[in-house]
Amino acid sequence: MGELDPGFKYEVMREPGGEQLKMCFSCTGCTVSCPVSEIEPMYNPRRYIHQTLVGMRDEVLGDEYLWRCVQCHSCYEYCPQDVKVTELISVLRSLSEREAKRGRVRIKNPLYMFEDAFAESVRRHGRVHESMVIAKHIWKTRGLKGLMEFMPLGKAMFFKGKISLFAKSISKRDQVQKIFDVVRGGGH
Amino acid sequence: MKTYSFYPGCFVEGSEVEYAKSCEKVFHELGIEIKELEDWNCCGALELTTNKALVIALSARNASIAERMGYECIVPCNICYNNLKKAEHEIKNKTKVGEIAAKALKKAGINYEAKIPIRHLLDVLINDVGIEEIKAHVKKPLSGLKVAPYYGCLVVRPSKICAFENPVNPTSMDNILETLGAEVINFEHKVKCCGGSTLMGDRDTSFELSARILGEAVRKGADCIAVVCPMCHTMLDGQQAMIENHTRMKFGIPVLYLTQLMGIAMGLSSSDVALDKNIIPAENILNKISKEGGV
Repeated sequence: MGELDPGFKYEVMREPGGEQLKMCFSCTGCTVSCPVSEIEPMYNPRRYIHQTLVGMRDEVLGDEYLWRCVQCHSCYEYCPQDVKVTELISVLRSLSEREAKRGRVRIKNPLYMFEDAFAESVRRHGRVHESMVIAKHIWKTRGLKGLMEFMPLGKAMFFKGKISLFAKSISKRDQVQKIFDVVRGGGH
Repeated sequence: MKTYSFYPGCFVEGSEVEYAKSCEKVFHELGIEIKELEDWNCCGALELTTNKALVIALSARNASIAERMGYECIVPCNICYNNLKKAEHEIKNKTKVGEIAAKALKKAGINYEAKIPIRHLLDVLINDVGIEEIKAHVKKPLSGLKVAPYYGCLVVRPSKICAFENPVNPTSMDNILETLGAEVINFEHKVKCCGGSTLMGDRDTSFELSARILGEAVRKGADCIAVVCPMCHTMLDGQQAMIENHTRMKFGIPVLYLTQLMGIAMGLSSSDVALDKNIIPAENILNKISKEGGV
Protein backbone atom coordinates (compact mmCIF):
# COMPACT_ATOMS: atom_id res chain seq x y z
CA MET A 1 0.00 0.00 0.00
CA GLY A 2 1.28 3.47 -0.92
CA GLU A 3 1.53 6.35 1.49
CA LEU A 4 -1.63 8.28 2.25
CA ASP A 5 -1.93 11.62 0.50
CA PRO A 6 -4.20 13.91 2.51
CA GLY A 7 -4.21 16.40 -0.38
CA PHE A 8 -5.76 13.91 -2.80
CA LYS A 9 -9.36 14.81 -1.99
CA TYR A 10 -8.65 18.47 -2.75
CA GLU A 11 -6.95 17.52 -5.99
CA VAL A 12 -10.12 15.68 -7.00
CA MET A 13 -12.43 18.46 -5.83
CA ARG A 14 -10.59 21.03 -7.95
CA GLU A 15 -11.56 19.16 -11.12
CA PRO A 16 -14.89 19.84 -12.90
CA GLY A 17 -17.25 17.13 -11.67
CA GLY A 18 -15.33 16.37 -8.48
CA GLU A 19 -16.55 19.33 -6.41
CA GLN A 20 -19.17 17.44 -4.39
CA LEU A 21 -16.88 14.67 -3.11
CA LYS A 22 -17.04 15.61 0.57
CA MET A 23 -20.84 15.47 0.62
CA CYS A 24 -20.73 11.66 0.62
CA PHE A 25 -22.01 10.03 3.83
CA SER A 26 -21.28 6.48 2.67
CA CYS A 27 -24.82 5.22 2.25
CA THR A 28 -23.73 2.82 -0.57
CA GLY A 29 -26.66 3.83 -2.79
CA CYS A 30 -24.22 4.30 -5.69
CA THR A 31 -22.84 0.78 -5.48
CA VAL A 32 -26.18 -0.87 -4.85
CA SER A 33 -27.71 0.78 -7.91
CA CYS A 34 -24.67 0.10 -10.12
CA PRO A 35 -25.22 -2.52 -12.84
CA VAL A 36 -21.48 -3.03 -13.25
CA SER A 37 -20.88 -3.69 -9.54
CA GLU A 38 -23.54 -6.36 -9.81
CA ILE A 39 -21.45 -8.18 -12.45
CA GLU A 40 -17.97 -7.24 -11.23
CA PRO A 41 -17.76 -6.49 -7.49
CA MET A 42 -14.23 -5.14 -7.92
CA TYR A 43 -15.80 -2.07 -9.48
CA ASN A 44 -17.22 -0.30 -6.45
CA PRO A 45 -17.97 3.44 -6.62
CA ARG A 46 -18.51 3.83 -2.87
CA ARG A 47 -15.10 2.32 -2.20
CA TYR A 48 -13.46 4.75 -4.64
CA ILE A 49 -15.08 7.67 -2.83
CA HIS A 50 -13.97 6.37 0.55
CA GLN A 51 -10.42 5.68 -0.65
CA THR A 52 -10.25 9.16 -2.18
CA LEU A 53 -11.39 10.79 1.05
CA VAL A 54 -8.74 9.02 3.11
CA GLY A 55 -6.03 9.82 0.54
CA MET A 56 -5.28 6.45 -1.08
CA ARG A 57 -4.11 8.17 -4.25
CA ASP A 58 -1.94 5.39 -5.72
CA GLU A 59 -4.55 2.70 -5.13
CA VAL A 60 -7.36 4.69 -6.72
CA LEU A 61 -5.50 6.06 -9.73
CA GLY A 62 -3.85 2.73 -10.43
CA ASP A 63 -7.11 0.82 -10.29
CA GLU A 64 -7.87 -0.90 -13.56
CA TYR A 65 -11.56 -1.31 -12.71
CA LEU A 66 -12.15 2.47 -12.83
CA TRP A 67 -12.52 2.02 -16.57
CA ARG A 68 -15.45 -0.35 -16.16
CA CYS A 69 -17.98 2.44 -15.48
CA VAL A 70 -20.65 2.49 -18.22
CA GLN A 71 -21.87 6.00 -17.39
CA CYS A 72 -25.47 4.94 -16.99
CA HIS A 73 -25.87 7.60 -14.27
CA SER A 74 -27.69 5.27 -11.85
CA CYS A 75 -25.31 6.26 -9.06
CA TYR A 76 -25.77 9.93 -9.94
CA GLU A 77 -29.55 9.49 -9.78
CA TYR A 78 -29.73 7.56 -6.54
CA CYS A 79 -27.20 9.60 -4.54
CA PRO A 80 -29.13 11.42 -1.80
CA GLN A 81 -26.20 13.81 -1.30
CA ASP A 82 -25.84 14.84 -4.94
CA VAL A 83 -22.20 13.76 -5.12
CA LYS A 84 -22.60 13.38 -8.92
CA VAL A 85 -20.80 10.04 -8.67
CA THR A 86 -20.68 9.35 -12.43
CA GLU A 87 -18.79 12.59 -12.96
CA LEU A 88 -16.56 11.87 -10.00
CA ILE A 89 -15.55 8.57 -11.57
CA SER A 90 -14.70 10.45 -14.77
CA VAL A 91 -12.49 12.81 -12.77
CA LEU A 92 -10.65 9.84 -11.27
CA ARG A 93 -10.23 8.43 -14.77
CA SER A 94 -8.80 11.68 -16.06
CA LEU A 95 -6.32 11.90 -13.17
CA SER A 96 -5.39 8.27 -13.79
CA GLU A 97 -4.87 9.07 -17.46
CA ARG A 98 -2.54 11.93 -16.54
CA GLU A 99 -0.52 9.57 -14.37
CA ALA A 100 -0.40 7.09 -17.25
CA LYS A 101 0.98 9.76 -19.57
CA ARG A 102 3.76 10.35 -17.05
CA GLY A 103 4.45 6.63 -17.09
CA ARG A 104 3.44 6.14 -13.46
CA VAL A 105 0.33 4.05 -14.05
CA ARG A 106 -0.39 1.46 -16.69
CA ILE A 107 -3.96 1.35 -17.99
CA LYS A 108 -4.77 -1.95 -19.62
CA ASN A 109 -8.40 -1.24 -20.48
CA PRO A 110 -8.42 -0.25 -24.17
CA LEU A 111 -11.26 2.24 -23.67
CA TYR A 112 -8.66 4.83 -22.85
CA MET A 113 -7.05 4.44 -26.29
CA PHE A 114 -10.41 4.49 -27.99
CA GLU A 115 -11.28 7.78 -26.32
CA ASP A 116 -8.05 9.33 -27.63
CA ALA A 117 -8.72 8.18 -31.19
CA PHE A 118 -12.33 9.35 -30.97
CA ALA A 119 -11.29 12.79 -29.74
CA GLU A 120 -8.75 13.12 -32.52
CA SER A 121 -11.36 12.28 -35.16
CA VAL A 122 -13.74 14.90 -33.75
CA ARG A 123 -11.00 17.51 -33.51
CA ARG A 124 -9.95 16.92 -37.09
CA HIS A 125 -13.35 16.64 -38.80
CA GLY A 126 -15.80 18.20 -36.36
CA ARG A 127 -17.63 14.86 -36.38
CA VAL A 128 -16.50 11.38 -35.58
CA HIS A 129 -15.72 9.09 -38.49
CA GLU A 130 -17.28 6.22 -36.57
CA SER A 131 -16.55 3.26 -38.86
CA MET A 132 -12.87 4.13 -39.28
CA VAL A 133 -12.24 4.85 -35.60
CA ILE A 134 -13.93 1.59 -34.60
CA ALA A 135 -12.20 -0.56 -37.24
CA LYS A 136 -8.79 0.84 -36.33
CA HIS A 137 -9.46 0.28 -32.65
CA ILE A 138 -10.49 -3.34 -33.15
CA TRP A 139 -7.38 -3.92 -35.26
CA LYS A 140 -5.12 -2.30 -32.66
CA THR A 141 -6.57 -4.07 -29.65
CA ARG A 142 -7.73 -7.45 -30.92
CA GLY A 143 -5.91 -7.82 -34.22
CA LEU A 144 -7.05 -10.01 -37.07
CA LYS A 145 -9.15 -12.20 -34.81
CA GLY A 146 -11.12 -9.19 -33.65
CA LEU A 147 -11.69 -7.99 -37.20
CA MET A 148 -12.76 -11.47 -38.34
CA GLU A 149 -15.27 -11.62 -35.51
CA PHE A 150 -16.64 -8.27 -36.62
CA MET A 151 -16.82 -9.28 -40.29
CA PRO A 152 -20.39 -10.69 -40.43
CA LEU A 153 -21.81 -7.53 -38.87
CA GLY A 154 -19.45 -5.31 -40.86
CA LYS A 155 -20.52 -6.97 -44.09
CA ALA A 156 -24.23 -6.68 -43.29
CA MET A 157 -23.78 -3.03 -42.37
CA PHE A 158 -21.83 -2.32 -45.52
CA PHE A 159 -24.49 -3.80 -47.80
CA LYS A 160 -27.22 -1.94 -45.95
CA GLY A 161 -25.38 1.30 -46.58
CA LYS A 162 -24.58 1.84 -42.92
CA ILE A 163 -20.85 2.34 -43.26
CA SER A 164 -19.40 5.50 -44.68
CA LEU A 165 -15.92 5.02 -46.06
CA PHE A 166 -15.08 8.69 -45.98
CA ALA A 167 -15.13 11.14 -43.11
CA LYS A 168 -17.70 13.92 -43.30
CA SER A 169 -16.08 17.14 -42.24
CA ILE A 170 -18.01 20.18 -41.15
CA SER A 171 -17.18 23.54 -42.68
CA LYS A 172 -16.39 25.42 -39.48
CA ARG A 173 -13.77 22.96 -38.24
CA ASP A 174 -11.73 25.90 -37.00
CA GLN A 175 -14.39 26.60 -34.33
CA VAL A 176 -14.25 23.02 -33.09
CA GLN A 177 -10.46 23.03 -33.05
CA LYS A 178 -10.47 26.32 -31.14
CA ILE A 179 -12.79 24.76 -28.54
CA PHE A 180 -10.40 21.82 -28.14
CA ASP A 181 -7.37 24.09 -27.81
CA VAL A 182 -8.93 26.46 -25.30
CA VAL A 183 -10.44 23.76 -23.07
CA ARG A 184 -7.34 21.60 -23.13
CA GLY A 185 -5.26 24.65 -22.31
CA GLY A 186 -7.31 25.05 -19.12
CA GLY A 187 -9.48 27.87 -20.47
CA HIS A 188 -6.67 30.12 -21.68
CA MET B 1 -47.32 23.70 -39.02
CA LYS B 2 -44.97 23.71 -36.05
CA THR B 3 -41.26 23.79 -36.81
CA TYR B 4 -38.36 22.38 -34.79
CA SER B 5 -34.65 22.23 -35.38
CA PHE B 6 -33.20 18.72 -35.44
CA TYR B 7 -29.81 17.50 -34.24
CA PRO B 8 -29.28 13.96 -35.61
CA GLY B 9 -25.80 13.36 -34.18
CA CYS B 10 -23.06 11.26 -35.79
CA PHE B 11 -24.63 7.90 -34.99
CA VAL B 12 -28.06 8.57 -36.49
CA GLU B 13 -26.57 10.34 -39.48
CA GLY B 14 -23.95 7.64 -40.03
CA SER B 15 -25.11 4.10 -39.42
CA GLU B 16 -28.60 4.30 -37.90
CA VAL B 17 -30.25 5.41 -41.13
CA GLU B 18 -33.53 3.69 -40.26
CA TYR B 19 -33.96 6.07 -37.34
CA ALA B 20 -33.20 9.16 -39.42
CA LYS B 21 -35.62 8.12 -42.15
CA SER B 22 -38.46 7.03 -39.89
CA CYS B 23 -38.17 10.26 -37.86
CA GLU B 24 -38.41 12.32 -40.99
CA LYS B 25 -41.44 10.44 -42.32
CA VAL B 26 -43.31 10.30 -39.01
CA PHE B 27 -42.86 14.00 -38.31
CA HIS B 28 -44.01 14.77 -41.80
CA GLU B 29 -47.17 12.71 -41.23
CA LEU B 30 -47.76 14.53 -37.97
CA GLY B 31 -47.53 17.86 -39.76
CA ILE B 32 -44.32 18.88 -38.06
CA GLU B 33 -41.47 20.44 -39.94
CA ILE B 34 -37.94 19.57 -38.84
CA LYS B 35 -34.88 21.48 -39.97
CA GLU B 36 -31.49 19.90 -39.48
CA LEU B 37 -28.98 22.06 -37.59
CA GLU B 38 -26.63 23.73 -40.02
CA ASP B 39 -23.03 22.52 -39.82
CA TRP B 40 -23.48 20.63 -36.54
CA ASN B 41 -20.58 18.86 -34.85
CA CYS B 42 -20.13 15.77 -32.66
CA CYS B 43 -21.34 16.39 -29.09
CA GLY B 44 -18.46 14.38 -27.63
CA ALA B 45 -20.69 11.36 -26.97
CA LEU B 46 -19.52 9.24 -24.03
CA GLU B 47 -15.97 9.06 -25.30
CA LEU B 48 -14.55 12.31 -23.96
CA THR B 49 -15.33 11.46 -20.35
CA THR B 50 -12.00 12.62 -19.10
CA ASN B 51 -12.70 16.21 -20.14
CA LYS B 52 -16.14 17.34 -19.10
CA ALA B 53 -15.63 20.95 -20.16
CA LEU B 54 -14.86 19.78 -23.68
CA VAL B 55 -18.12 17.82 -23.92
CA ILE B 56 -20.06 20.81 -22.58
CA ALA B 57 -18.44 23.22 -25.05
CA LEU B 58 -18.83 20.92 -28.08
CA SER B 59 -22.48 20.26 -27.19
CA ALA B 60 -23.15 23.95 -26.59
CA ARG B 61 -21.93 24.78 -30.08
CA ASN B 62 -24.80 22.67 -31.44
CA ALA B 63 -27.31 24.24 -29.08
CA SER B 64 -26.07 27.67 -30.20
CA ILE B 65 -26.91 26.76 -33.81
CA ALA B 66 -30.46 25.84 -32.74
CA GLU B 67 -30.65 29.13 -30.87
CA ARG B 68 -29.58 31.06 -33.95
CA MET B 69 -32.12 29.22 -36.09
CA GLY B 70 -34.74 30.10 -33.49
CA TYR B 71 -36.41 26.69 -33.18
CA GLU B 72 -36.59 24.33 -30.22
CA CYS B 73 -34.16 21.49 -30.84
CA ILE B 74 -35.26 17.86 -31.15
CA VAL B 75 -32.56 15.31 -30.30
CA PRO B 76 -33.31 11.64 -31.15
CA CYS B 77 -30.26 10.18 -29.36
CA ASN B 78 -30.12 9.65 -25.58
CA ILE B 79 -26.41 10.44 -25.41
CA CYS B 80 -26.53 13.61 -27.49
CA TYR B 81 -29.64 14.68 -25.60
CA ASN B 82 -27.94 14.18 -22.26
CA ASN B 83 -24.87 16.12 -23.36
CA LEU B 84 -26.83 19.03 -24.80
CA LYS B 85 -29.02 19.21 -21.68
CA LYS B 86 -25.94 19.23 -19.48
CA ALA B 87 -24.43 22.00 -21.60
CA GLU B 88 -27.60 24.03 -21.24
CA HIS B 89 -27.65 23.39 -17.48
CA GLU B 90 -23.97 24.13 -16.75
CA ILE B 91 -23.78 27.26 -18.89
CA LYS B 92 -27.10 28.68 -17.71
CA ASN B 93 -26.12 28.18 -14.07
CA LYS B 94 -22.62 29.50 -14.65
CA THR B 95 -20.99 26.55 -12.90
CA LYS B 96 -17.22 26.24 -12.93
CA VAL B 97 -17.22 23.84 -15.86
CA GLY B 98 -19.86 25.97 -17.58
CA GLU B 99 -17.60 29.01 -17.32
CA ILE B 100 -14.64 27.17 -18.88
CA ALA B 101 -16.87 26.02 -21.72
CA ALA B 102 -18.35 29.51 -22.15
CA LYS B 103 -14.86 30.95 -22.44
CA ALA B 104 -13.92 28.41 -25.11
CA LEU B 105 -17.10 29.22 -27.04
CA LYS B 106 -16.38 32.92 -26.85
CA LYS B 107 -12.85 32.47 -28.12
CA ALA B 108 -14.21 30.38 -30.99
CA GLY B 109 -16.55 33.25 -31.86
CA ILE B 110 -19.75 31.48 -30.75
CA ASN B 111 -22.55 33.21 -28.93
CA TYR B 112 -24.69 30.93 -26.75
CA GLU B 113 -27.14 32.06 -24.07
CA ALA B 114 -28.78 28.73 -23.17
CA LYS B 115 -32.19 30.08 -24.11
CA ILE B 116 -33.48 27.54 -26.63
CA PRO B 117 -35.13 24.41 -25.16
CA ILE B 118 -33.36 21.10 -25.88
CA ARG B 119 -35.95 18.34 -26.28
CA HIS B 120 -35.69 14.59 -26.59
CA LEU B 121 -37.78 13.14 -29.40
CA LEU B 122 -39.86 11.26 -26.83
CA ASP B 123 -40.50 14.47 -24.90
CA VAL B 124 -41.82 16.22 -28.02
CA LEU B 125 -44.00 13.24 -28.99
CA ILE B 126 -45.66 12.88 -25.61
CA ASN B 127 -45.84 16.53 -24.49
CA ASP B 128 -46.17 18.58 -27.68
CA VAL B 129 -47.81 16.23 -30.16
CA GLY B 130 -49.73 14.34 -27.49
CA ILE B 131 -51.56 11.04 -27.30
CA GLU B 132 -54.79 12.33 -28.88
CA GLU B 133 -53.02 13.61 -31.97
CA ILE B 134 -51.03 10.39 -32.36
CA LYS B 135 -54.25 8.39 -31.99
CA ALA B 136 -55.84 10.42 -34.78
CA HIS B 137 -53.07 9.32 -37.13
CA VAL B 138 -53.28 5.58 -36.45
CA LYS B 139 -54.54 3.81 -39.55
CA LYS B 140 -53.24 0.28 -39.00
CA PRO B 141 -53.24 -0.50 -35.27
CA LEU B 142 -50.49 -2.81 -34.08
CA SER B 143 -53.07 -5.21 -32.62
CA GLY B 144 -51.63 -8.43 -31.30
CA LEU B 145 -48.05 -7.17 -31.37
CA LYS B 146 -46.29 -7.58 -28.02
CA VAL B 147 -43.70 -4.86 -27.52
CA ALA B 148 -41.07 -4.40 -24.79
CA PRO B 149 -40.52 -0.66 -24.26
CA TYR B 150 -36.84 0.02 -23.62
CA TYR B 151 -35.93 3.62 -22.73
CA GLY B 152 -32.25 3.31 -21.80
CA CYS B 153 -30.35 5.47 -19.33
CA LEU B 154 -29.59 8.93 -20.46
CA VAL B 155 -33.03 9.98 -21.56
CA VAL B 156 -34.23 9.86 -17.94
CA ARG B 157 -31.06 10.26 -15.85
CA PRO B 158 -29.98 12.45 -14.16
CA SER B 159 -33.59 13.48 -13.63
CA LYS B 160 -32.63 16.92 -12.31
CA ILE B 161 -31.35 17.75 -15.77
CA CYS B 162 -33.34 15.46 -18.08
CA ALA B 163 -36.54 16.27 -16.29
CA PHE B 164 -39.44 15.33 -18.56
CA GLU B 165 -39.88 11.75 -17.37
CA ASN B 166 -40.03 9.62 -14.26
CA PRO B 167 -36.46 8.27 -13.83
CA VAL B 168 -37.54 4.98 -12.26
CA ASN B 169 -40.63 4.08 -14.22
CA PRO B 170 -41.09 6.22 -17.31
CA THR B 171 -44.36 5.67 -19.17
CA SER B 172 -44.33 7.92 -22.23
CA MET B 173 -43.22 5.20 -24.64
CA ASP B 174 -45.62 2.69 -23.03
CA ASN B 175 -48.47 5.13 -23.62
CA ILE B 176 -47.52 5.83 -27.21
CA LEU B 177 -47.20 2.12 -27.99
CA GLU B 178 -50.60 1.42 -26.42
CA THR B 179 -52.09 4.20 -28.49
CA LEU B 180 -50.66 2.52 -31.56
CA GLY B 181 -52.63 -0.57 -30.56
CA ALA B 182 -49.71 -2.68 -29.37
CA GLU B 183 -49.71 -4.87 -26.30
CA VAL B 184 -47.06 -3.38 -24.02
CA ILE B 185 -45.32 -5.78 -21.68
CA ASN B 186 -44.35 -4.79 -18.15
CA PHE B 187 -40.63 -4.38 -18.76
CA GLU B 188 -38.39 -4.33 -15.71
CA HIS B 189 -35.27 -3.48 -17.67
CA LYS B 190 -36.78 -0.39 -19.23
CA VAL B 191 -34.22 2.01 -17.72
CA LYS B 192 -31.32 -0.41 -17.18
CA CYS B 193 -28.10 0.13 -19.06
CA CYS B 194 -27.26 -1.60 -22.37
CA GLY B 195 -23.53 -1.19 -21.68
CA GLY B 196 -22.97 0.49 -25.02
CA SER B 197 -20.41 2.98 -23.79
CA THR B 198 -17.96 0.28 -22.81
CA LEU B 199 -18.27 -1.90 -25.92
CA MET B 200 -14.83 -0.78 -27.07
CA GLY B 201 -13.23 -1.25 -23.67
CA ASP B 202 -14.79 -4.13 -21.85
CA ARG B 203 -16.94 -6.18 -24.17
CA ASP B 204 -17.85 -8.82 -21.61
CA THR B 205 -19.61 -6.30 -19.39
CA SER B 206 -21.49 -4.63 -22.21
CA PHE B 207 -22.61 -7.97 -23.64
CA GLU B 208 -23.74 -9.17 -20.24
CA LEU B 209 -25.78 -6.01 -19.65
CA SER B 210 -27.44 -6.20 -23.06
CA ALA B 211 -28.09 -9.93 -22.68
CA ARG B 212 -30.17 -9.22 -19.57
CA ILE B 213 -32.37 -6.78 -21.50
CA LEU B 214 -32.78 -9.12 -24.47
CA GLY B 215 -33.36 -12.02 -22.10
CA GLU B 216 -36.24 -10.41 -20.26
CA ALA B 217 -37.93 -9.39 -23.51
CA VAL B 218 -37.71 -12.92 -24.91
CA ARG B 219 -38.77 -14.53 -21.63
CA LYS B 220 -41.87 -12.36 -21.49
CA GLY B 221 -42.83 -13.28 -25.03
CA ALA B 222 -42.25 -9.91 -26.69
CA ASP B 223 -42.35 -9.86 -30.49
CA CYS B 224 -39.97 -6.93 -30.58
CA ILE B 225 -38.22 -4.30 -28.47
CA ALA B 226 -38.86 -0.58 -29.03
CA VAL B 227 -36.01 1.91 -28.52
CA VAL B 228 -35.38 5.64 -28.79
CA CYS B 229 -31.58 5.74 -28.89
CA PRO B 230 -29.07 4.70 -31.57
CA MET B 231 -26.59 3.39 -29.00
CA CYS B 232 -29.20 1.10 -27.43
CA HIS B 233 -30.20 0.02 -30.92
CA THR B 234 -26.65 -0.78 -31.97
CA MET B 235 -26.18 -2.93 -28.89
CA LEU B 236 -29.49 -4.78 -28.97
CA ASP B 237 -29.90 -5.09 -32.75
CA GLY B 238 -26.45 -4.82 -34.37
CA GLN B 239 -24.53 -6.70 -31.69
CA GLN B 240 -27.27 -9.24 -30.94
CA ALA B 241 -25.69 -12.09 -32.91
CA MET B 242 -22.33 -11.49 -31.24
CA ILE B 243 -24.00 -11.36 -27.84
CA GLU B 244 -25.62 -14.71 -28.65
CA ASN B 245 -22.26 -16.23 -29.54
CA HIS B 246 -20.64 -14.80 -26.48
CA THR B 247 -23.28 -15.77 -23.93
CA ARG B 248 -24.45 -18.96 -25.66
CA MET B 249 -28.01 -17.74 -25.42
CA LYS B 250 -30.53 -17.45 -28.23
CA PHE B 251 -32.66 -14.32 -28.67
CA GLY B 252 -33.46 -13.56 -32.32
CA ILE B 253 -35.70 -10.69 -31.37
CA PRO B 254 -36.16 -7.67 -33.68
CA VAL B 255 -35.39 -4.26 -32.18
CA LEU B 256 -37.25 -1.36 -33.73
CA TYR B 257 -37.13 2.35 -33.24
CA LEU B 258 -40.32 3.79 -31.78
CA THR B 259 -40.61 5.93 -34.91
CA GLN B 260 -40.52 2.80 -37.11
CA LEU B 261 -43.43 1.31 -35.15
CA MET B 262 -45.29 4.62 -35.29
CA GLY B 263 -44.78 4.79 -39.04
CA ILE B 264 -46.17 1.28 -39.53
CA ALA B 265 -49.22 2.08 -37.41
CA MET B 266 -49.72 5.32 -39.31
CA GLY B 267 -49.94 3.35 -42.53
CA LEU B 268 -46.50 4.13 -43.94
CA SER B 269 -44.77 1.48 -46.03
CA SER B 270 -41.96 -0.65 -44.66
CA SER B 271 -39.53 1.16 -46.96
CA ASP B 272 -40.71 4.50 -45.57
CA VAL B 273 -39.55 3.39 -42.14
CA ALA B 274 -36.50 1.57 -43.58
CA LEU B 275 -37.38 -1.79 -42.00
CA ASP B 276 -34.83 -3.44 -44.31
CA LYS B 277 -31.99 -1.58 -42.57
CA ASN B 278 -32.37 -3.35 -39.22
CA ILE B 279 -29.76 -6.05 -38.69
CA ILE B 280 -32.10 -8.57 -37.03
CA PRO B 281 -34.78 -9.04 -39.73
CA ALA B 282 -37.71 -6.87 -38.73
CA GLU B 283 -40.18 -7.43 -41.57
CA ASN B 284 -41.62 -10.51 -39.83
CA ILE B 285 -43.31 -8.42 -37.19
CA LEU B 286 -45.74 -7.21 -39.86
CA ASN B 287 -47.16 -10.76 -39.98
CA LYS B 288 -47.76 -10.71 -36.26
CA ILE B 289 -50.04 -7.73 -36.42
CA SER B 290 -53.54 -9.18 -36.48
CA LYS B 291 -55.64 -8.07 -39.38
CA GLU B 292 -59.03 -7.81 -37.68
CA GLY B 293 -57.86 -4.74 -35.73
CA GLY B 294 -57.00 -2.92 -38.95
CA VAL B 295 -59.12 -0.32 -40.66
